[in-house]
Amino acid sequence: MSAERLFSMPDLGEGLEEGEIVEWLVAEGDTVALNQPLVEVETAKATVEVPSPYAGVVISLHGPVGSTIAVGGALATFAVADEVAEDGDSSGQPQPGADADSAATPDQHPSRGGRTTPPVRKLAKELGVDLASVVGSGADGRITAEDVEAARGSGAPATSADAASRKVIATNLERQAAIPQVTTFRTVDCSALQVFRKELGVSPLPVVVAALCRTIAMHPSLNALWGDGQVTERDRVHVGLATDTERGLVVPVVRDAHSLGIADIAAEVARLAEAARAGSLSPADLTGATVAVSNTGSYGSEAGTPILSPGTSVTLAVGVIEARALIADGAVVARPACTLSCTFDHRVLDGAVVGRALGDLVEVLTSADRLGDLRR
Amino acid sequence: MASEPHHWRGTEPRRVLAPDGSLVGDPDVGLGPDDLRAMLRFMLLARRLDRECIALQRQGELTVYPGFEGQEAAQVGSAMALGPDDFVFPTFRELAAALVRGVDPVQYLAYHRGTWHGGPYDPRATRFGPICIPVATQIVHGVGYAMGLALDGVRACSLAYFGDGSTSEGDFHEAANLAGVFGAPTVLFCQNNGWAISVPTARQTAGEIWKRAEGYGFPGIRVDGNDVLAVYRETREAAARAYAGEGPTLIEALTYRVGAHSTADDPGRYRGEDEVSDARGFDPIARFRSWLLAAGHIDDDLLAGWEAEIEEQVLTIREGVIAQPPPPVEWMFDWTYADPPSALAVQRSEVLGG
Repeated sequence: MSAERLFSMPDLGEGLEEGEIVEWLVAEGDTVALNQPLVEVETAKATVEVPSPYAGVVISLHGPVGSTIAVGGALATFAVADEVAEDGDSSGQPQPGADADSAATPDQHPSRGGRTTPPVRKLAKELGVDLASVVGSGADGRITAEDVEAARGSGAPATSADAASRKVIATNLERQAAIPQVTTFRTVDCSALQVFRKELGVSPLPVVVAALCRTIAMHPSLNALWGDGQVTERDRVHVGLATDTERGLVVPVVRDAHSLGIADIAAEVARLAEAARAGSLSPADLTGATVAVSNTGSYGSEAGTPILSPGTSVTLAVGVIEARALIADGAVVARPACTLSCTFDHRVLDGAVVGRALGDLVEVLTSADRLGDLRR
Repeated sequence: MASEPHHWRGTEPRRVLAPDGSLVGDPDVGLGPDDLRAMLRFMLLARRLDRECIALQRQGELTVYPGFEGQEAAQVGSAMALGPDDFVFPTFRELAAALVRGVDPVQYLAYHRGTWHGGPYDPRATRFGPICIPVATQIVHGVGYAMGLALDGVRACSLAYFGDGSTSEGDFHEAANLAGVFGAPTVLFCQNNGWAISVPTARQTAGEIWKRAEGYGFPGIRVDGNDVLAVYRETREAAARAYAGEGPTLIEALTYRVGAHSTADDPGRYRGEDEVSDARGFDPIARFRSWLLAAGHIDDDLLAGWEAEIEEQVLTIREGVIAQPPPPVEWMFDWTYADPPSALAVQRSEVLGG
């Protein structure tokens, strides 16, 4: 009587993922001794000789010379004398030599909740996939990144992702609240803006972003940051857009907005909004903002006191555009208007600087000529 | 005769046995025939077990393992020279010394199997500290422990093992300097095996390591680390100085790492085969065995009997290592922080499927 034992490709270095068969040192049907040289394997780190973990007969060798086998993949199968085998153990233990003692230990990892690795857990969180609903296809039933990708969009409940993203929001806000920040307001007559943006077939937001970039070109300190006891100015303008999603607030970033025309900004805003809704924003989409815009008007707010986004010194909230009673030429007239609420880091910027910058921004947004100067 | 390892050049090391096993010093180092035989048996067991550990790693049973083939005399000779109250502070390459100190090899190898951090053996019982991966930190521990011994008025010493690479670390300097200033009863035992992973000793230091002791104000000794009798004698004398309140000693034991730095290393990328085959000509076991045979302390029958015993012993250790169950997964959360941060509490419940 004998039992089959599967020998899987071990991690021959530290954290290697695969190995290539350089040479088999035994043949199928050979009788081998414990520790007899079995195969030469080349890894990313070294070429190593792997000794046989069993004394017995080689039943099969699971890959030709030159083939690459993943760590944990089948390498060789042996028939070993049954004194070392036990019932139900012929289907291939991932750990060679794992015997009754270890198989019976009470601390087998529970499979409930989905057995997987930390990077896959992180991915699942990002994608809002509940691991408990995913069937693992990896070794030992482990859930792989591919399994999580496949499960995405299958309607798996995302409660834990909600909780996790809420926590990230809370932590960020707590940290940002420690910054001495002040909010100032300006009301803008949007008559020219509405005409202009309809002409371009875009929403007001991309135009405001472009106008803000123009303003930053005149007042670079709006794009600066306090750190290490000093103000650092930044050449590139990456505009974070505070966006409401099912899972809470996210701030995707229009990169290099200063170099984009309004149409490109509009396209990027649309792409980011769609990705935010789908939960498919990449880490690159979510980091690096140098200034932020919050479209609080989208849910009807007139004005607000936004908290600064991480990495920024200015957050501009754009209130709802609606008919307001404005004074023009000494008379009260109804005009489409909105309120800009500008929160700024008082360590970086003084009120007068921001006031002048906002004045220039309003000048751009209210003048058909200045709007026309913006890059399309 | 093959040429000596490159890093042995310079000051002639102290020797009892020449590389060919002939006597060049007084063989009476204070050990009787039984002890001499035990010394060789430890070296033979250590080598056989070292090779088994490399096989176990190749078979997926150990995660990573640092071999010490060629360094058996340096480790066995120095460890045997210590008294039961002395305390060893090892690196991660002192399995041979651990065997001498009575550490259970299965428990020791739990570290390399990844089932326990530092090995579940009791360092207080064996007076052999936990395996230390960071380079040179254990020298500081050893000196601090020795200063404690002095404050307690205990007649004992500490011995810290380290390699040639460690001597370039700030920790080595700080520990050695402090040991000198406070006259700590400690032995700083450097196994200069020629290679710090891929960095040869010549790129590690332009001088000789043992000479640095003078700058710290205590004796430095260069010994042939592949001559187990000389290593024993010099370590014994260093310990005796420590017991007598005469402070620390730096010992540079010249040896050679025949194998790879670890199972994750390929030395073929940075050193030639000739160097290794030459170094095998200075093998510590062959040298001592040849002298013991010539002196009539052992014979071929005894050696054959040992070989069978050691084979059996190593297989038992192998089975013990493989039988080690993985520890309960929650231990990594439970035993890291006294008050775990909330993020870890969440991960803990995720892992447990709660």
